[in-house]
Amino acid sequence: MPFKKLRPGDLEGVEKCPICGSKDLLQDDESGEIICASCGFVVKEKVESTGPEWRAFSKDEKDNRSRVGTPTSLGINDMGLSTVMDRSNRDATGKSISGANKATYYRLRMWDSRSKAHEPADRNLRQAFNELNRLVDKLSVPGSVSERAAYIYRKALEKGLVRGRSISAIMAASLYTACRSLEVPRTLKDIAAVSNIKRKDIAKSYRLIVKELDLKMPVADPVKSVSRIATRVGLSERTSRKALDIIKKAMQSGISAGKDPMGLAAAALYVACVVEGENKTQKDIAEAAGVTEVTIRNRYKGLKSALNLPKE
Amino acid sequence: MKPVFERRWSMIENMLKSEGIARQHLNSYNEFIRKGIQSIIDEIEEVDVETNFGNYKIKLGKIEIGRPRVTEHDGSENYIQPREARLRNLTYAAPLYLNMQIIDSDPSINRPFKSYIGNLPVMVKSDICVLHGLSEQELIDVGEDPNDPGGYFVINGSERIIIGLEDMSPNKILVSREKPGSAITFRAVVHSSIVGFRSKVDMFMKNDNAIYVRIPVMPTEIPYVVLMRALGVTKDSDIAQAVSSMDEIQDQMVPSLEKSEGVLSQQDAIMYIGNRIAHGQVDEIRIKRAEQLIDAYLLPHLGREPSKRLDKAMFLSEMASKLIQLKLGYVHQDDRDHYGNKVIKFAGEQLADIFRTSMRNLTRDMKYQLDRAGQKKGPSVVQAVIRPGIITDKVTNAIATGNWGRGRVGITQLLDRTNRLSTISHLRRIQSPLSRTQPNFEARELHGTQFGRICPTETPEGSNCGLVKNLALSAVISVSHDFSSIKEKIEKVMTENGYKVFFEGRLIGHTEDVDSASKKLRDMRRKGELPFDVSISVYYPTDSRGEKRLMVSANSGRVMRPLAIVQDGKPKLTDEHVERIERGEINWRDLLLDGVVELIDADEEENCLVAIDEYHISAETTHMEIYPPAMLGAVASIIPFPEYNQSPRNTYESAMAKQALGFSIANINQTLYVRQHMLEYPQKPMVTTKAVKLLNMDSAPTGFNAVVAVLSFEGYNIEDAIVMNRASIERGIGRSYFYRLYEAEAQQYLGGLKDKFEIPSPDSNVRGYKGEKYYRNLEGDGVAYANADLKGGDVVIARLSPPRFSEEYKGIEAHGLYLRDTSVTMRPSESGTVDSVVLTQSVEGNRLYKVRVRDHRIPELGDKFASRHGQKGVVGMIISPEDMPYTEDGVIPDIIINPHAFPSRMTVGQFLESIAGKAASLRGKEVDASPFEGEDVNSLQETLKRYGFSPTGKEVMYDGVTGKKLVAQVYVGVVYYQKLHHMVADKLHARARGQVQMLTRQPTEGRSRGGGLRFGEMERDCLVAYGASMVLKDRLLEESDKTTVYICSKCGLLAHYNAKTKKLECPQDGSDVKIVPVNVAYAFKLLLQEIMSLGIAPRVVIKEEV
Repeated sequence: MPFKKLRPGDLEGVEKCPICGSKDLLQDDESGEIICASCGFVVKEKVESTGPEWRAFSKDEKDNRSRVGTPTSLGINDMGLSTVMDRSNRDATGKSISGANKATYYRLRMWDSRSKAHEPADRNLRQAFNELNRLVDKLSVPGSVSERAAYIYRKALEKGLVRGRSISAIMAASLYTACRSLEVPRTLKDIAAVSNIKRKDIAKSYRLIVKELDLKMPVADPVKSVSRIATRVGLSERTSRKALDIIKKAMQSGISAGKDPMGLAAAALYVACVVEGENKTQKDIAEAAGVTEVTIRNRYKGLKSALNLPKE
Repeated sequence: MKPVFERRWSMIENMLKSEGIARQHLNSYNEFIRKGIQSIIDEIEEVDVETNFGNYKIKLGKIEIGRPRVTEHDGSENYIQPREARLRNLTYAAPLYLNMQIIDSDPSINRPFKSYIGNLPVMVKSDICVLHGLSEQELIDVGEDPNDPGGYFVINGSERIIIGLEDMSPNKILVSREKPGSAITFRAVVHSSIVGFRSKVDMFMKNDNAIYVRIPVMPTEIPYVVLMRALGVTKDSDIAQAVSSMDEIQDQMVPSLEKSEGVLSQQDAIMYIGNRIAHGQVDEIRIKRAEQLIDAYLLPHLGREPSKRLDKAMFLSEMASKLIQLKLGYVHQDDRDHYGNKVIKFAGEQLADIFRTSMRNLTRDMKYQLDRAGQKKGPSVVQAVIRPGIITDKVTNAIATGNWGRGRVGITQLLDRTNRLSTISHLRRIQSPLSRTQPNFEARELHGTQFGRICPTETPEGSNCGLVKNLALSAVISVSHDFSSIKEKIEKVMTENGYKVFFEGRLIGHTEDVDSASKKLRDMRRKGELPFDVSISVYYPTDSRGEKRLMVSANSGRVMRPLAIVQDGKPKLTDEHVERIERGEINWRDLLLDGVVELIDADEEENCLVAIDEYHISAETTHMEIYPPAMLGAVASIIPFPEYNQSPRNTYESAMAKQALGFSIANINQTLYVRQHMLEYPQKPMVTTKAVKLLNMDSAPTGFNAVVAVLSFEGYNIEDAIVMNRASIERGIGRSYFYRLYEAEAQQYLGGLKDKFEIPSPDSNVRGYKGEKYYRNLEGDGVAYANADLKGGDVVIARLSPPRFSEEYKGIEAHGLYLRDTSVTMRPSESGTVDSVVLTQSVEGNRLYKVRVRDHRIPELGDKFASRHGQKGVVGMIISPEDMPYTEDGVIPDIIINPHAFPSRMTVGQFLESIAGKAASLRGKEVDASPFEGEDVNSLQETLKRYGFSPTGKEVMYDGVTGKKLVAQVYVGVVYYQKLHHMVADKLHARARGQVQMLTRQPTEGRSRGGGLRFGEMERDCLVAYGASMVLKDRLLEESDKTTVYICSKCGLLAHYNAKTKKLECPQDGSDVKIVPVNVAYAFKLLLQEIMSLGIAPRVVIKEEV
């Protein structure tokens, strides 16, 4: 078992060695002691363990031996901190409650959940996060993105950006912003397709959010889009690796600046296809990437001149 | 003399080989895929959307299932194989697409469209699995063990199986007599089931001799006659006639008819029901609810449309009829434990259950959202509203946790990969839903009808005894068939009047002569005109006045077994058939087709007379056993000479064989299990059984052949300990590897911060830095290098996490910004060598490291070993070969076991195995010791004699230390020993000092956290009785949770230290009173505070120490 270095503030009331005054303390989990590293004095023994509770008397206890509950989430209107009434229709002794009372409890439960949203803002968040869950579900983006989206939406709501605009549009834009900022490749088109909101509206709201919240967006990296397009067209791993090489070189030469990353990724894949001899047309790739063939041709020209590639 | 059935083994062998060992699961799942899903969707049929701008409908059409795939974090979709799912912690699932069409007056939106509605976990090796139909070489190429039976799911990288669940047969009327003196006298119960849904109808007769019915949702019982009227049979005479035309039975209806309480018309009856389920609502709603109840919840297997009400009435009449016949003594009580009254629900049936609820949730969610969508409508709107997560999450979550909702937990289990046999056994396991806390004696007992279906020996001991069962080798589970074509066939044998004919729990007609009708149907089945797993049975009443019934069932989950048909006193199955199977010319299914063999379920077996072999066939015999030893399960079948053992010993061995270390899977380098053992030099048993070969256990053995002497040795083998030869261990006996997996994922946090795999530098401000030496085995990527030797506490994967912030930087914390060291370290009590390192990407797109550490386990004092006869023991001593006793030939035993292991346990099988093993070694060929037909002892003794050994198995031995001849001759032979996975290296533990629990400040519990050993109540009693008060205080206070509390001497309540005034003060009397320190157990202080939290003042009265 290792000695852990004890940092100030790790353990209340233990700051320094009472004998030599050194602040260099070590914690030994095996003996449960805190030792002064310079003089060897045992500052504290029988340190409390911080792991989950061990003893379990029943199966239920065993199942949740943790000291904490579910983590708070920004994606819930009250961050998941409120208490809810259980749906199980059983009283404290475990007997099921009578039929007549069931209706009462049903009503109580309904009012309890309604009363959770005190202010209009709460109600707004509720609706927005409902929408968010749906979008996240359809786009299968990681949880961190959904949290980020919720965070951005909350900020937007505070700033009053939602006023006069549709909740779902701002929510969709927030999600797009979150994807951009965490570099999870999802296009405006993707989001528009699942949210049933026009791409232009999302784009408009996105620009508004970035401007008003003063967000700095990382430049979209074409590398991240390669595997997405490649799997859609059904290209080999070899070809997509080649495409990654090409993009890397293109970025070094600086021709990628200011260009649509999707277009660049698509063009690189197309070049890779030609080099690796995989038979895919510009049209195939253009469709999968959601760009036009013209874009691919234009990017291709740039790549060709910059990287001395073979002819088309 | 060898039994005659021996040669027919190849028939059973062919059956299991061609069907596969996990056929039940695969069949069940495939059926769910083929028909179950679609029927659940057809049942929902359409979604009604009611918006403020008008209503429309969405019609649900055909379901389509794609290839198993995963959606990566970047949105790309990859097809996956089980291997990738296991390694990357993915879920092996396939997308479901549903065809839909909007039905609306606006024709522009009526075009059909298809939408992705969620993922369905794919059973490995099922029809939709990518491994389906691959050859052995192809399986090896995709990184699978070719011997893996499949039949499980891969959820988040772990293999989970849905245990077969024993259930009452659906749609069957079971009558029973209730306890005398209770309000209810007789009862008839039916579990009416359709795919994924079941509803129980409970009909009973009370003390007043009237019949009542209880149906789900309905809070109270309803008189039977009222229910009949609600179903449209209103006239008293019709009701009575429906029950029976016999006067004696009709007479019994009088009290029930009197109970109808003036409810005379159908409208009255429906209102009667409506008043009870929708009390206080308007009339229309009451009627609507009552009709809904009757159509949807009453006997749903007959149909859920109003047109089926008359059928339901007829079925209820039949229930009542059987109930009254029981009362009159015409029929006997039904036996709930009869295996004909049970079905087993495997993965498919249970998934149907969970899929049904999630599909309903999905459509409800769709409706909810579309109702609010306003004017927008059309395919794109509908598609936007579908949340695939509803199905995906619900189904995967259910399989991952085993939580099936409504209190049903533990439905799924982690697949047992201890050895191949344990995996096979796990896949053939059946659980009873009965509570294990209640006695349920009858349900736990072995029932006669389980012969050839359920293994009589393999069941756990203790609370689950008899409730958890295992399929016998000869068991075949029925699959369901297209009902309509079977029904047509049955109709051919029906007549206008006569006895009732039931098909699938439905009364479909009558026949004059049940016996000839059943014969005709059976002949049709033997000719292949009816499916083989249709059961045709005749129900005979106890009294001639009772009714005979012809029952035909074609449902899935009945346990059947193959029997040879006997005609005119001769079995149709001949040696020629068997020989042709052996030569591979025909398959066992061909025998079914030829009408030589048929599958019989427990109900039909009641109409059969089965001879054990050719010599026992009489005039009445209808069938002959094919291979009786196949009544044993997979595990029991590997026990050599089991018929010579006391029966519980075989049960113990069945449990232990599943703990034996061996060669668990062949694709060890393609899989990473959290814990895994591998025996280093596995040997196939020299005394073997036919099942060992069938189950391919020879290619994945679980033990080693040891020379065993039965002898006491210096007291080192008392109490079942075994003495081992050091030289044997050094030659490699019983060595194994233990693998443990350490896993770390670099998570991404809200602010865009990420975990990093990196060795923290000693001078950086990292919280939880462990000290340089713990990181020394790591390479630049922060992960231990392959073949690094790691000790307990060493870092395996170094990881740095950003500070915890929930939202944003809320001001810099008092002590500055710091990173946390969240490295994964070796378990404190384990050590080992890094075996393999895998870097991959999780679905969330995070880097995921998996490091497998291997530990070499050489047998040592305390390791557990067992023979195949329930004879277990731990190593008591390891002796150098020169000190071991030796035989005349100079043979030194590998293991010495104590003779006391035998008299009381009566494991004669082990003696026989010992002789057989010796003979096998001498002869250089395996001995067949299959159940009931092992090689004859005489022939084994003959072999021993031939090679110059005593036929008794005894030998003269000499003491290795003194060289003196031992007074008695010693029984020496070769016995197959298994190393069980309980090893001291995993259990050794002691504590002198250490951490304490946060809540009670008593020492922590458990080896993994360096816990103390509990000095419990009984130990305390010893010290109390002995009067050792100082020791007592030392154990229970000083070495435990001693604390100093401050008590106010005036009020006796807890005082505290005020840091501001630097004084002790009482919350009530301030700091001017006398406050005294008292030493108490922290638990006592806690008790005081807990009492105070209840609003009670616990006062500690202080007295001066004398």
